[in-house]
Amino acid sequence: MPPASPVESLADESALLARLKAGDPGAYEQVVREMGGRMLAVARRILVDENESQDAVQDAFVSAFRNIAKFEGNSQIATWLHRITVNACLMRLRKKRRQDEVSLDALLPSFGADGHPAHAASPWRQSPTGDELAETRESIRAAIAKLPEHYRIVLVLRDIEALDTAQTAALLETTEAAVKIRLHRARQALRELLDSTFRDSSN
Amino acid sequence: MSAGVPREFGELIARLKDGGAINCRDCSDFLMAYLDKELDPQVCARFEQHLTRCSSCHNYVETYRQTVRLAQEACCPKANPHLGKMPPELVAAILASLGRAP
Repeated sequence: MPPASPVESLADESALLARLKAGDPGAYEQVVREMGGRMLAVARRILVDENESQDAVQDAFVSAFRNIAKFEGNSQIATWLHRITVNACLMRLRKKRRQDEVSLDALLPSFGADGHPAHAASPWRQSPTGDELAETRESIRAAIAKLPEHYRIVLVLRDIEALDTAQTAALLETTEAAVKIRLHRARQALRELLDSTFRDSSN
Repeated sequence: MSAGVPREFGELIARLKDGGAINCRDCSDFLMAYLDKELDPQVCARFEQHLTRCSSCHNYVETYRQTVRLAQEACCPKANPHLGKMPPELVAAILASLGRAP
């Protein structure tokens, strides 16, 4: 079978959706091949563990295709799959035995009674370019992975997957205020983890 | 020393009305609300006034912004195409499980 051409227009999108709804195996394969990588990247960001990520993507595609009749085409197929993949990942996180919540306190700024910080913040150097860039990005991803799950998940959904506060709160079955607090703390903790790498020693 | 626990805006606004000043802990606690433009305009003006006078808070705000940007860039699919590589065996597994689906 020749490779299907990528979905590039709305017309392609609705034609593809019609084929999916008709149960065309070629359409299923096209979607898995074209969009699977993006969904696996989402799962890897949320779950970190490679096997869990692959299983979540498989769950997501199977669930999506079984429910294709319910998809009304209000959003793009990729957006719809993204939502189903995030849900599949969160279901896997909930099933895992809850690990002891790691305290974030050591990574949050601390202040004296007068409101002054225990440690003054220094500026950071510019992000590296060239060969150093890939290594730096890897260390940033490793720092994100070090955040306690409770906080990491909010940072990934809000800052990386670009869901809004209300969407994130609904997915995590919590309040918008709780999402905001957790996001702020997660960013502060990540900033602390990156501080030694990026602090500008020339200042 | 206490870790920065986000507090309610009301407490800060009441303190500012009583003639109190914004301190570094307030800056840390209300930073996200400031960046999201959720602060009351008067509080926002006092917040910015503090940033012009306090180099530590100025640096903190800038590095907090950089943190968000760096995290986004580090995880951006376009910059990291290898992160979204689909293993052929996973494609095969998905297609096989679809074939078995009722």
